[in-house]
Order: sequence, then C-alpha cells, then structure tokens
Amino acid sequence: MLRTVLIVDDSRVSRMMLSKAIADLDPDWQIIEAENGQQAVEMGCEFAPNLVVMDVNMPVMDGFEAVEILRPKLPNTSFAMLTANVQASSQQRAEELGVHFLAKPVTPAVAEKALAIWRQEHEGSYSA
Amino acid sequence: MKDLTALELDALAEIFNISVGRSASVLSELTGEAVTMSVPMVHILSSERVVELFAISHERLTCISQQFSGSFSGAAMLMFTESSSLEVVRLMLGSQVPLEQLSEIEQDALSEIGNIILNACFAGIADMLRDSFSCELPELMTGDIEHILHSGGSEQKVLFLQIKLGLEQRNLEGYLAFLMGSETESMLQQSLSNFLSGM
Repeated sequence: MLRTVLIVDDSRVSRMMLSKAIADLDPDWQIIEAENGQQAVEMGCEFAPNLVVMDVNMPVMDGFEAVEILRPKLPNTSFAMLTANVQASSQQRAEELGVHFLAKPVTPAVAEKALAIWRQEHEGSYSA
Repeated sequence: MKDLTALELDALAEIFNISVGRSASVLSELTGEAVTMSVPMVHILSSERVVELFAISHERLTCISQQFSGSFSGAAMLMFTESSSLEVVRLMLGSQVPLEQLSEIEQDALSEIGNIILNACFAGIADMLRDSFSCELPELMTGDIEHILHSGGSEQKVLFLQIKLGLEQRNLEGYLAFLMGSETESMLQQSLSNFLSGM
C-alpha cells in the first residue's frame, strides 16, 4: 500500500538525501517536499501524509510552529523533527510537542529511524 | 572589559575542544571518513590581526556564518579554503548526485554542512555552559579573509578558534571564528566565570 511522507527542509540537499534514502529503503513511500513551515502546513492539509519529517530552522515559518498547527489537523500522522539544532532545549521542545527528535546529518540510518517511527505508531514495531 | 584570565582562557579552550569534537564527529558522518582534529587554539584578536594571520596564505575562503544569541551573542563562522570546501561537498554527496548536478547544488550543500557543524558546536557549548543558543539561518560567503570578517563589522573583536580537521587521506583545514562586540565579550567572561564557579 502506498504511503506518503512529507519532507520539510529549506535545504534542497537535505531533501534530496532523505528522499533518496527513503526511496532506497522502501519504494512504497510516496515522497512530497516542502521548503518551509508555511508550505508544510499547506501541503499537510492538502495531502494528509502518513509521516512528516520536519526541519526546525527554516525561513517564513519554523518547524516547531508548523507542527503546532499541523498536529491537531492530522491526528493519524506521525511527526519527526530532523534538525542540526541538537541542543537540549530543542529536544525538550520536541518532547513538549509530543513528536520524535532526530539529529542531522541525513544518513540512511536516520531515514530508517524516521520510517521506524511511523511503523512504531501504526504497527507497534519500532526498533530504531 | 578586562582580559580573560589564564584559567578562563583554559576553560574556553576546553569548552571548544569538547564542542568541536562533536562537530568533527558530524563531519565524519557527513563524509564517511575518519576525522582527526588538532588541539584547538583559542585567541581573542582584533579583526586586523586575524587578517594578518590569514594574509600569509592568500587563499580564498568559503565561509558559512550564523548569527547566534544566548549567554553570549555574535556571529559564528566556519571557514574552509575554497578547494577544501569543494572536497567536503563531494565527499558528502558522493555518488548520490550526478556530477552535472553537483555544481548546481554546491552552495546549498555548503550552507547545510556549515549549519550542521556549527549547530553541533553550539550544542556542546550550550551543554557546558548550561544555556541555550538560538541561531539564525546560515549565510554563505566566498572571498578573502578581510572581506569575510568586515562583513560582520570591522571594529569587532574576534574569538578566533584555529583548528585543523584532517580527513584520512586528505588534508582539509577548517577554522572557526566567533565575531563579538565588546558587550558580548563581557557576557562571555561572565559565562566563563559562572562555569568555573560551578565546577
């Protein structure tokens, strides 16, 4: 069954690397991309993705703000923050929002963890 | 501001040693190669003095800078020689990106590399000082050291951290610099004092 992941990052390179890693891991994922939080809100509402992988520091609207808007609208969607901002304060904010936290750089292992988050919430088999 | 004491300078070097260690680890993940790093040398210098130090090599630099604020504020800069920076991008992207597309996304890749490395460094500093820092989006500049440093205001002091990052079979040299105003220097000194008194 085709599932959809929304990758949100202002860095085109990071979007490319994560897209490729996810496609290599599991071709059943359809990948859509947004460049900032505002676009993510619009695309999230339009496509209702199964999984959102969201950067934090972005122009226009940051990732935490976008998650705050999207979460109540998408109760069946899994969310993971994927950021270079690995400070404890950033991890704490993710925890407060009830979303998972992944640290950049983007690697195949990080992509696997993101998909595992979705599996954990929907199939109960998280192992990352 | 009075000069930093020997103990404060030592604490500063150790804070950066640990923090840059995280950055080196991230660089290793990005490039897929083991990274060695030299002992960081920390100096607080005028921007003119930094220009003099760099002028010896005459190399053009690629600089990724981020404004930051926290217990001290300013602009953090990660600099590579131009040839080194291209090498890092190629290592990071490897065969994931076709060669013809590489030059098109090179600048974006460099910004992201700087973002990740600088943030890893800030996470270490924040942990050590028990504080948090907020960082603006990264900006990319290319040019000689004078051009780069003067973009942040010529009258500023520079907390200059010299560190050599070596990839296994390559010789890459990276530098970190933090531009600070005089008010920020006092904030830094206060943070160091708090850090030392809490030990």
